[in-house]
Amino acid sequence: MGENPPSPSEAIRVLYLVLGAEGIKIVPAYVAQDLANVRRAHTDDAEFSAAILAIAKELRIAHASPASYGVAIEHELAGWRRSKFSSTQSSDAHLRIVFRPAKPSGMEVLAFGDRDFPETVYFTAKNRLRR
Amino acid sequence: MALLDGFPLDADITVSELRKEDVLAERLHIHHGLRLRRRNDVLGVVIEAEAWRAHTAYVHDLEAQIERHEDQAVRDLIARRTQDAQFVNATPEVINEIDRQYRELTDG
Repeated sequence: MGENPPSPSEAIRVLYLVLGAEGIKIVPAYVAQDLANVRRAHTDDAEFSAAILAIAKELRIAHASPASYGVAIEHELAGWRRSKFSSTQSSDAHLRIVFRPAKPSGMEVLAFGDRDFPETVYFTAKNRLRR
Repeated sequence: MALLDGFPLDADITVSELRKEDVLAERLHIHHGLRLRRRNDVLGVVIEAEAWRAHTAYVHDLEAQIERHEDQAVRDLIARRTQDAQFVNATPEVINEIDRQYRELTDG
């Protein structure tokens, strides 16, 4: 990608590559929806690309040790965990992923997105069910 | 200058006064927190150790509350999304379908 920041489509391709890694399982409709919501949250191309690349990186790290990475969700018995992180070194930890270790190995990804925008991460499923 | 909000007008100490322990102790006793000034510039703030401990405890408490709220939000999301979730591998065909749906959702 050289010196230029990646374009949105390049960043999305990186995310797809990570999601396609052996052992990662997803719900396709949720990925499409979360991706669209991140796009709506970050209308600036550079910000969107940075957010998507940060999500891809975080998923890759979580995939390496899904049973211990991030934090376990309190009072949640199915093994789901969450992680918060930022898209740039200077910003606060505004991005989230929700995942759990899969059996016998690997990781299931339930959600990703931006905390600061009501259409993303935690509200997505509610919207989907309303349609 | 939002950082200085909440300091009384006379809650000041100059850099040279800062070296005088009795002056520092007296003003902290009165105000609990002071602006540290050099002439007209505010260089920083000086607050009582106990006030600092109370402040950090307050921040930790707020952070814990935020974490609890976030955990609740995630539990709600899990309850909704896992009702009909079918987890699959992201094969090239699946990725193509995700991309198609994404473009449809974003009109891109």
